[in-house]
Amino acid sequence: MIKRNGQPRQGVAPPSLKRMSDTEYAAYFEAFGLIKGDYQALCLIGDKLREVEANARGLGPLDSQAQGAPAVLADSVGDRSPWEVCASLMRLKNNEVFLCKRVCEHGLEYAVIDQASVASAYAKVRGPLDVLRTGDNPRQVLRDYLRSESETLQLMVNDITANVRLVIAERFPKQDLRRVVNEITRMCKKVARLGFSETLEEHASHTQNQARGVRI
Amino acid sequence: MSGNNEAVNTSPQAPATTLPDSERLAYSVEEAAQLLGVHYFSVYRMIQRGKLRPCRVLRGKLLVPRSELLNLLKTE
Repeated sequence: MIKRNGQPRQGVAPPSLKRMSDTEYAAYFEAFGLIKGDYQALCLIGDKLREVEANARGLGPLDSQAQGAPAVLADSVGDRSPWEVCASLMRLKNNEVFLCKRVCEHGLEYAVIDQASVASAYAKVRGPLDVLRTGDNPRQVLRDYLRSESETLQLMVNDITANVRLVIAERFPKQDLRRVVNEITRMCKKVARLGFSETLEEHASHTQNQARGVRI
Repeated sequence: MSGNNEAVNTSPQAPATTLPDSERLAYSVEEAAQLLGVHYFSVYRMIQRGKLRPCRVLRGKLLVPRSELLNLLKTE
């Protein structure tokens, strides 16, 4: 628990700023209090994606990921074979992202699919499934998905920091609080940073080299 | 890739089936997510993929125009 002037401040991590003025301190807690939920969401989504990356590195045959009878995604109807769930990548309220596969004319096709709640207004019009990435190489599909999610996280960070700038400008007008904005921006960017793409590429390259018997 | 991921609880409330009558021209990402009935990370993803075109207002904050939401929810 942080204390300032004898007043405890709960639930907010202390900033790494040194020698904060009272105004900076007040602005920090005001702004961070506003975006705390977003910051926590960033942390959780970032953690989930890092978990996906870590699991992808040790990915065995994808067929072994599903236990028992494979689940099939809800609106997989039509002339093509349905999407079978290989793994759940991330579950958020109202949405869940899956790695799926199905048989197509060239063999197996893999996809990362975002499934919305069937009761949602979006799903009622557009259907519950949103295919985010497809391909015949599951690692490549995951890598492309993770890279895209990294960009989405960056977009979210930019929006959060815009909110911070807004609230600080509104509540603390005509004061130079750039250090506070920069600090919160730094914190958000830190938890949204993934950096797995290179790792996956390196891993894929290493695996290829091993398969070809290349020594490095 | 575990199947027992915990749901992230920082998400929108119950979905709306239609957009409410309103004079508002645009919504925040969180509000748009509530209206669509999806998690707001999905709305950021829709923006990032070009399915929703936002407008940027004060200090770079993203807003989703009402017309964009109506287009997305329009039955083809």
